[in-house]
Amino acid sequence: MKLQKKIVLILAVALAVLSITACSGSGSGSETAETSDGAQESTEATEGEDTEEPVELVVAVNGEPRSLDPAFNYEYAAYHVVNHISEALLTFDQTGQLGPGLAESWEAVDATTYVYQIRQGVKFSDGSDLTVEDVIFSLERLRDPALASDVNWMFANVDTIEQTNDWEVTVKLTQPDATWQYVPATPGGQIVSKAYVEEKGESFGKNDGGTLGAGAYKLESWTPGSQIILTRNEYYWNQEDAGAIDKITVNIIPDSSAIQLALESGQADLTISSSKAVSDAFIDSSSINIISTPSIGNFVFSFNTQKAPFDDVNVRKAIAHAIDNVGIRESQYGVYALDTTVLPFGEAGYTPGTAESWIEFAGKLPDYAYNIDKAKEYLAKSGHPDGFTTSLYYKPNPIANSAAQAIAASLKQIGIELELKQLQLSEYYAYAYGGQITDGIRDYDLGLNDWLPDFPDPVGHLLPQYSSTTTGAGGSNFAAYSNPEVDKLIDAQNATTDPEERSKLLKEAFAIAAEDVPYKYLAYPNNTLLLNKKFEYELGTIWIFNFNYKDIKVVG
Amino acid sequence: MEKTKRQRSDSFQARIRNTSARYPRLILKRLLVFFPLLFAASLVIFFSLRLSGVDPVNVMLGERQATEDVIFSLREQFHLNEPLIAQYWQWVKEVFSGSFGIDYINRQSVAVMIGQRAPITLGLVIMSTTIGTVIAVGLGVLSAVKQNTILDRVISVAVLIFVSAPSFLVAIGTLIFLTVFMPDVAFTGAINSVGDYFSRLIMPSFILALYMLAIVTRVTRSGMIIQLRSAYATAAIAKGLPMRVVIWKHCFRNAFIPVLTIVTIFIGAAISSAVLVESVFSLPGLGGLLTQAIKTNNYPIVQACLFILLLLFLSLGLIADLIYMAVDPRARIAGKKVLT
Repeated sequence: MKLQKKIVLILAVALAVLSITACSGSGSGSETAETSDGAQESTEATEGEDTEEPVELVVAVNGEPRSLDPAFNYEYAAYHVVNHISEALLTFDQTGQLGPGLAESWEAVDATTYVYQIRQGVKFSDGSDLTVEDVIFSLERLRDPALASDVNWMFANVDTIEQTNDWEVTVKLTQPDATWQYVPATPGGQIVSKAYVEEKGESFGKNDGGTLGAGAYKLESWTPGSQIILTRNEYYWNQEDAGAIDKITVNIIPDSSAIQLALESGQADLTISSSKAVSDAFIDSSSINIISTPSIGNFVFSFNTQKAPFDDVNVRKAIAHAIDNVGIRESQYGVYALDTTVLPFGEAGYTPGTAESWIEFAGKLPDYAYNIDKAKEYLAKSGHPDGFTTSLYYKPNPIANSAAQAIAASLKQIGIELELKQLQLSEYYAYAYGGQITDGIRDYDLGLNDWLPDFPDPVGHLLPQYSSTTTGAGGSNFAAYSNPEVDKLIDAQNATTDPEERSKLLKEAFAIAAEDVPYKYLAYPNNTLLLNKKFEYELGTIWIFNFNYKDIKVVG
Repeated sequence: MEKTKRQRSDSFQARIRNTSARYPRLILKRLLVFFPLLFAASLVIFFSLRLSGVDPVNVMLGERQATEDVIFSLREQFHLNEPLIAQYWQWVKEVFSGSFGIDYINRQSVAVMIGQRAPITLGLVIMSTTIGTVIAVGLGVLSAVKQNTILDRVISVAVLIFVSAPSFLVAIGTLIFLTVFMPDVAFTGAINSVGDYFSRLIMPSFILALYMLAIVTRVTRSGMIIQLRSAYATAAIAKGLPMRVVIWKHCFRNAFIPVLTIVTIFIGAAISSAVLVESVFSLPGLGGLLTQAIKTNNYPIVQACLFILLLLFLSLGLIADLIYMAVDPRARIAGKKVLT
């Protein structure tokens, strides 16, 4: 018995030692943090009173950027970093209007000629000069198919990019393209240092090569899989508008509940909310503000208009009437989305100045509101009065999944059986972006998609989603919709640079499309930002391109 | 009769004595099986991934528009326009060059990406198996010695609770506990020092260790009970050896062999359960890399990870066998018989 007691004692000691090492493990972490804080305070004290503590903003993102190269800056994870390092030729203001950037002025000489005056005296964050050569190199690089950049398609109608004067660059198009005016304000217009890209070669933009731009911030460090740190670019050309934030720490936190806890505990100051549940968790928070503004994107139900029975407009109208879009918006987005019309965009997408008329215009169009009686009526008129069985594909995400269930239940009421196909992401991309086409016809019946236009202009919806040119491989016409009249109007609006005329032509095109119902819009989701109350920010409609850390204000 | 019996026992002794000399040959023979197995596995990994029929170009383009030129250029750069067998040969060359190819999404060398993330997963696995084994062996021996007492039952129930709680739930629970009671303990951000490394890894390691407690404790307990009841243990106790010596020096040595087998299996299991824990604790490890790659059909990463994991499993098996031979003389002879 005595011996057994000894064993118990030994084991107890072993356990105690283990738990102590465990505690001291986590304890030492907080200790080092304290000492480093202490060290910071003491250096500040010695430096004197006029040096303020640097303002740090900690951002939580759920994914890591693939690269810091503007060529691959076309995903949410990258916008948090790359847009602030490499500034573009032009900028968008909070309402989506174009403004100057690295080009101090620009002009559309005619429908195919755009002239940019490059700002003089701009330096990259290493102190080297930004030249016209860098500008042309950056743009040519983005449109080189060998690099296969994300924005390559934006350059589809570009003929030449040439230096036409000391600080002047002229872009000539092969045919009129109304979207080109916006390209220089997107990642498609972001400028990098030619010397740096050539020096780094393959590793440029990767975590072992880094990047060099002329934005308000520069890359300080990148720890793969966990953290990216940006600090002020001391050579930034626009010192008056360099902002209050000195250091931005972007922490990669894959788990959404861990992001929520990081915000609650003050380990993170800012995140783009991933869902209604995450936003709602902060309604009564004492430390976090929910900033939610309308966006130009949509959540949409698409018919494959090439394929029977959806080539029958009455079938499309019947289904459109059978879907309860308001119910879906309410249950999936709550207050973080707006209800839809037959147009692909909500109030944020309306061009300022003509806003009133777009809203009026939307009111005049049929809205295909939820109405089972009307749905039955249209189905009776169609070639399939007794219903049929079909399938719906969608992304592996909870919102799409719940919406799909709701739609299947609704369609059952009018005799349509829906087979639900939740796809893997890459299969989804293949369906939605023309990767699965047999004999010229897209391989699906119905789909649930998201669309965030690349440009804050109705044409950012019309061209990629309603034009017959975007039904093929790599195209994003989810409904495979093609109507020669709409195509003609798209061409016509491209050819004119007069805004009123363009707006008239666009409306004609949307009016025709509204009668054809290739899409049923389910919601216009908001942009929702969660921000610590230490900071203030006014979120714009197209945050992906105009969200700027330098515009974040420090409270108090 | 007597003579032959004696001769036999002599040769048995001699064989045991000679085994140290045969050791290298045994290892060599194991390796001869090892490589063909690896080759066959590489074929299975490569071709079974391609069965899904997903076009890698769609993986690369993701949710973005593209022109025909870009699609063509990507096919060419990634050899997708060549027959599958040529693509396999390309991969084999990449494996031998140590680069493991370029991944579809980041367009970076797979070896570099794995190298950046391996230290975290390796640390998690080593720390959690060490912690788990030490605790489980301790508890197992204790409950065997205290067999059928209240303590024994308390240990069984506690261990059962630990294994029944899903590790991600325990992980989230721990995180909530940390934010409420110890807000200074960082669970996000970069790991910049050795101190950071241990402070960030210790919690997840404990959580992972819980998972292996139940089975390892049970195996240790039952093994120890058999040994403690055996004649040699009774003899040792009867001749007045201290209990400590009987337990640890005699009984535990014999009970340890099945424990070892279980632990090597759990090293493998720890790698897979590390996935969830890594994600909750924002640790940039291989688990996150692999799950993300599987979700996105990023084959170069999936096949490299699977290949390396397989290599690890096979090596672990090999190492376990070698340890058996070192610990248990019978295994040496058995090994020889099997292999010659």
